[in-house]
Amino acid sequence: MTLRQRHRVLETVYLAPAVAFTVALVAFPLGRMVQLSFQEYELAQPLSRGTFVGVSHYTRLLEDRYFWRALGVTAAYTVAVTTVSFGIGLVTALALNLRLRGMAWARALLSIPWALPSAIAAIIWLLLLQSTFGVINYLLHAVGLSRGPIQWLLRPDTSLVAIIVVGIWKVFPFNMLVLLAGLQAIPAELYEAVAVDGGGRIPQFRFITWPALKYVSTVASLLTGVHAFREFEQIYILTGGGPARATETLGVQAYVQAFRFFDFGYGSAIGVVMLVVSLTSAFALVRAMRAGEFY
Amino acid sequence: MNRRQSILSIVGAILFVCAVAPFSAAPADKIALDFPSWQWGQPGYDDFFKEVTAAFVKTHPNVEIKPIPIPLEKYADQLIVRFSSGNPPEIMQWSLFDYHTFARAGWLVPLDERLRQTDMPTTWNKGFLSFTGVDGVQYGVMLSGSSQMLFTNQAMFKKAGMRIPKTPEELVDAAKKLAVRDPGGTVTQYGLSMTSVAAPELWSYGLARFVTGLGGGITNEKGVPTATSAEVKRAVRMMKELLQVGAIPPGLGRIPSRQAFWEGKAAMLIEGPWVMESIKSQNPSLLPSVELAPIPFPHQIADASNGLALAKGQKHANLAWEFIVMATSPQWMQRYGELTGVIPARNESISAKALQEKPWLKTFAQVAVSGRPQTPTGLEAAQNQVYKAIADRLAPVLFGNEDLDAALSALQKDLEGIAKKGR
Repeated sequence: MTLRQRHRVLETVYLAPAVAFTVALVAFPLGRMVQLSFQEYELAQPLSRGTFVGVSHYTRLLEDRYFWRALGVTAAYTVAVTTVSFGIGLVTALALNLRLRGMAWARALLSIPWALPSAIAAIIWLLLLQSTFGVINYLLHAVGLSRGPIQWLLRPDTSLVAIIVVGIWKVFPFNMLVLLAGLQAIPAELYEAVAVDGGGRIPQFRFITWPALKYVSTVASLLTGVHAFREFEQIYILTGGGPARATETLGVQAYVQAFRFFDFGYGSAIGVVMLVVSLTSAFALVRAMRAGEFY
Repeated sequence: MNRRQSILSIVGAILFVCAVAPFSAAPADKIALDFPSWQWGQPGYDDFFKEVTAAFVKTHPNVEIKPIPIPLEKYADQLIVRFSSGNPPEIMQWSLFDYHTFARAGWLVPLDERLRQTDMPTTWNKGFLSFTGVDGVQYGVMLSGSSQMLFTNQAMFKKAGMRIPKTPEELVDAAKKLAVRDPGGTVTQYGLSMTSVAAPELWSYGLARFVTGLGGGITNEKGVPTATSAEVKRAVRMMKELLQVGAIPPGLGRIPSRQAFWEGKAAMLIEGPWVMESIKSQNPSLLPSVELAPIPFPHQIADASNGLALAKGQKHANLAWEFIVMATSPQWMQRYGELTGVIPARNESISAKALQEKPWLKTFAQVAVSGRPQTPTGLEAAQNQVYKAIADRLAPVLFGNEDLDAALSALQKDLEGIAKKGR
């Protein structure tokens, strides 16, 4: 055996545990989900459990108006959370990059929402938004901005806004930190060159900052988008998908079908749709990163 | 780290694991029975489980019972995973929300043969036995049932010069008059606290109290959906009226709605006996003001609560059955009532001691015998779907401006679809 071949064998041996771990924890559950999506698997109907039903769950999806509604809610949530959290992240990153006193503290404080576990964050917001005894309604009333309690999580029109606000609050620090890292990587000489040419803050942002941030912006937005698309925990704790399915995203719908209605076949089919969308986004992310035309 | 240090570290780790393992694992000669429950850690229930398992282990020295606390919200999920992976619990507890689903899934063992060798068929509450029957087969032994009463804060009633309501009309009137606003218009005291969220518990802990009390249900005795019935319509109207005038606090889940009463923020509450235990532990100063009364409706409410079963595929079914028989024996059912303050499923199991410490149990027990269940007959295995459909259709009516008749017609269609699929 040559030295090169011995290295190959060693590499394979060293990689084997990680590969086995990945197969057991990722590939197997995903494969099982895909398999279930082609089977009848309802707990209450043991005789039909495991029967191959072809693409019937997928055709049911196409005819299910609640699926299309959930897809629309998911799209609205994803677009709103991704764009607004990117905007807030960019503004805060630019502010933090000013290198003023106390910025380290500000950065740490602003990062807290991202560091909090989703379930804890959702419970905090559940208490803040509670109609009767919630702090937000109390403050709004105290400053004269509302007459009576606003039913944030009880009305379809306000509940979607409420979960989007919580979603933005949770992920904007991620955008902020990624963009701040991008900002700090821009050489100061470039700004000096624009300044020598008489350019102020706006030309500096337009011709230096923004082009330099395009790469990290794409990565941050795509990662935020994928995160928002598959968000489940926060939404489920806050509204459970209600009221009247106004906040029922695909993630919540898949969970409810499988673990509340015990229809694992249909729930898996929704999961597969989510997987396909997430994978497509991931491929777009990789392609964008490989394109390397940004900076 | 050099090679020698690496080898020493690995050897050290192995020795540590070998040294610790004998203390952390169950002794090899003992049979381990795992006992998952959402009630481990809850006052009263935890005490009962600890006492009864200790007594069982004393008479079965080769057995060890392992408590596994799981929150109620996660309980069904965890059991589904365990059943699906062929690893069912040895001591299996069920709640009324998942019992029929698990039974129909084929995950529970029929108990009729075993039950015939006990006194249970004749000494159990008949209403409770009818709940545990699934297509004529018994799969579970009930530990406790639940009945509802009207909790009133007499200090608030006296201040307002009100009497305890005896009819639905009087309830609405009292709830309105007992709601107090500050000069700024903010409600500082609610008339009636009840579950008022846009989620499935809106029915089981909220609206169902009114509908069942009025003599209706979301299905009839034959299992046919009755969402458009007069009782459902009247109940929704009552709740909406009370929400609109600020007599019911909106947005409260099951626990916060009870909390609003025991914290003195609401004058009335329709709930089970466990609330008395919460008042005792959370705000004992309220106890002298609390007076219980039958719910002010033509019908009283009693339902199943939870129990034990044998799981298909478990390793020690006979031992688990011995535990069930012991836990539901007259002696232990009396102890259950004394410690938990709820109604034991075995008839006449409320001891003199329990009655002395918790005199309200007598009335709750009487209601448990005569009350109507609020669980939807015929759709027990699809309760989650039914309750979600109710919340989806009726929340926009209660908290918004959707038309009631249109919502009830849509709900009726939803329920008919669920019933059709179930059959």
